[in-house]
Amino acid sequence: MTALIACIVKELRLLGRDVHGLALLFILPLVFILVMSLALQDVYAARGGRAIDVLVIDRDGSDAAKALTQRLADNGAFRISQTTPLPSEERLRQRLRAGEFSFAVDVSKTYGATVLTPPQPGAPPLLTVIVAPDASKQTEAIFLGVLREAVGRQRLDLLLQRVGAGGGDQSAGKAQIVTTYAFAREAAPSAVQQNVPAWLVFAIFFVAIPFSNTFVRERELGAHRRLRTTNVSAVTQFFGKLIPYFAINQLQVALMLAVGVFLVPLLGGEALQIRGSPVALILLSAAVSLAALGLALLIAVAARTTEQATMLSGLGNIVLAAVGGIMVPKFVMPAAMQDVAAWSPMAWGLDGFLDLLLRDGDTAAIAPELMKLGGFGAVALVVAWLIYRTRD
Amino acid sequence: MTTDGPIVTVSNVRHRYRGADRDALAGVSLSIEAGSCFGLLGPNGAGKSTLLGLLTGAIKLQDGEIEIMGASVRTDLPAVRAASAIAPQELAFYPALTGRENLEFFAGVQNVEGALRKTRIAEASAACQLDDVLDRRAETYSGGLKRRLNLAIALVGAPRILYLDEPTVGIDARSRALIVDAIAALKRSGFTIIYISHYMEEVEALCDSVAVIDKGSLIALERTEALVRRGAERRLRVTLAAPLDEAARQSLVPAQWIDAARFDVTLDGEAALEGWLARIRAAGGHVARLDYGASKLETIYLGLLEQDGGP
Repeated sequence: MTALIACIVKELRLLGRDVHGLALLFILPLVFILVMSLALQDVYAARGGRAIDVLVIDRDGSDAAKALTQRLADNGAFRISQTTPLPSEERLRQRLRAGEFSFAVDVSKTYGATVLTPPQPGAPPLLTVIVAPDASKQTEAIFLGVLREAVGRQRLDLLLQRVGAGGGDQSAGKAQIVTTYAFAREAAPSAVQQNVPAWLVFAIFFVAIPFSNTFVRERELGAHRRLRTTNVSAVTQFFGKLIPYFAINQLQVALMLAVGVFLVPLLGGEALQIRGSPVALILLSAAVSLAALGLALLIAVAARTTEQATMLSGLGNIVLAAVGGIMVPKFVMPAAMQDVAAWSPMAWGLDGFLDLLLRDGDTAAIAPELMKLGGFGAVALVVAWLIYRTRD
Repeated sequence: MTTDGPIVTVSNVRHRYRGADRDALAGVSLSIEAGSCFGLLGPNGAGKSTLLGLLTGAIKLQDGEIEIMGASVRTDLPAVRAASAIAPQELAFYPALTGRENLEFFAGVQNVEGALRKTRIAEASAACQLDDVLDRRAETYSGGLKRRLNLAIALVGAPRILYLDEPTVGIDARSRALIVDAIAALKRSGFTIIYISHYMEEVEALCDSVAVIDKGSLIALERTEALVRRGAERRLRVTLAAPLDEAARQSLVPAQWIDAARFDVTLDGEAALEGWLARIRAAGGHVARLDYGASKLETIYLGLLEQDGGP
């Protein structure tokens, strides 16, 4: 026990003095979480069904203009704001450039009087749409289509009213179209829900770099040779390395989740909601750590030099992250890539976290991920041990 | 700590590495007295490191037998390891840790704990004169301090046998002297020391007996004093006050010239000495110093290797 404690203390001291290693394990994922959660929140929000902000400037105030505004508001895709007093054109463009709205609709003061009149050459337009710089062409086309449909339907209603036939049935069209989703739309993650667990899993696997480096360095220094002439067993030495890094992994989980819960909202993002079973969260965190440490030990015993260890662990992690849905979410990948992702331990870890954080999962819900991660970690540790014994 | 009789016995040990076309060790036998300092000499690749690996249990014994304090490396490796420690040629410690932290770690892995650990660290530090720098990171140490820490780490387990592999390599003369003094003190306090070095004057000064290994075989094994005297009874080394030119040197055949002012000759009786002194004067030389009847270990060592077939 004394030998194991000595190994653990030594490893923690070495890691504590490895500024680059600590930055890699804590600062890098923290920066990724903050940047990705904040930078991509609009993208994720739009995908999650967030309404497009539209500013209506009603210079007319007629019933027809109000009815048009109401029609747009009734479409769930838009969040309509109106402004009084009417802004100057420059002020209006400023607000669009600032990202407050995707579109501004300027309703002319003759809208109500001329909506049924055929367009005359040289006459002012009924509506002027001003597009924000960050609105995509696709969104612009959709919005203009909706606006034309709203004006067209209003004209139809007004014409029907004039001939005494009453308004059209608004619900008739909707009933003819039924929407179904090829994915769990209600469970689409927000930026923080995707990025916190994603970069957390990435950080856990990144222990492979400092872990394998200290392992190989010990061999290069001759300390390993010296230890082999003492009675400390290889198993004690292995656990003396694995236990501190396991603890580091758990600290990473706690810190990164805390960043999502407390720091991201302070910086203007959405707060991470930690739902699901706490026991399941602990089990998942341990399973991801086991997989990461198994891989780290495998790289450590396979590498001959610190350069090899750094390259294998760095490159390996980036590839696993790229295919595993860390850098690019799995739900935007084509089917073939999603099949590839299914083989990445990082994807198993991320899926488990999403099950817990997004879908209120429990231990049973993440059992497949726990088994895959645990199995991968165990196999990697056994293979690492066999390589070590063969080379010894 | 000193006990009578051999503390290390190596019997007909053979070892061949996988894929090698010859034995790294080809039937080596030797024994080492308790409390003595034993020099292990040989050129690079001779088999010294293999023998050291077998003695420490780092390399598995293939053929033959090694016993350390009566314990076989085959059947009682824990006892063998508990009895011995190595200060390898590499600086085998953690540069990012302080000297004290390194000593704590290597004591800890040998299950030395509590007050005993503190005592052992204090003793090792004192023996290697590290007290003033013990709380500095090892990476800030000079080359000499690093060598001393390397040695101190070998002491924290309180071994009976110390394997010192090139303990003074790559450091300045003052640091070498400090380490040699420390090793001499360890020897006086009863440690059995197996000493590997290419510095022959250190081996000559420290070691009671010497083994020379070449190409995996033992080519000499005897008391250092006897080895140094072997074949040197009739040898005269002449050191001249000033170098001689080439023609003058050629007139002194069959002198073995070391440089333009030093040569060795083998005398055949007292009259021969007088004859050589006359020839030196005739050649224009003036004798500054004469050394008769002893030879440097280095000369003997090189002679042994030459007899064994050269490099």
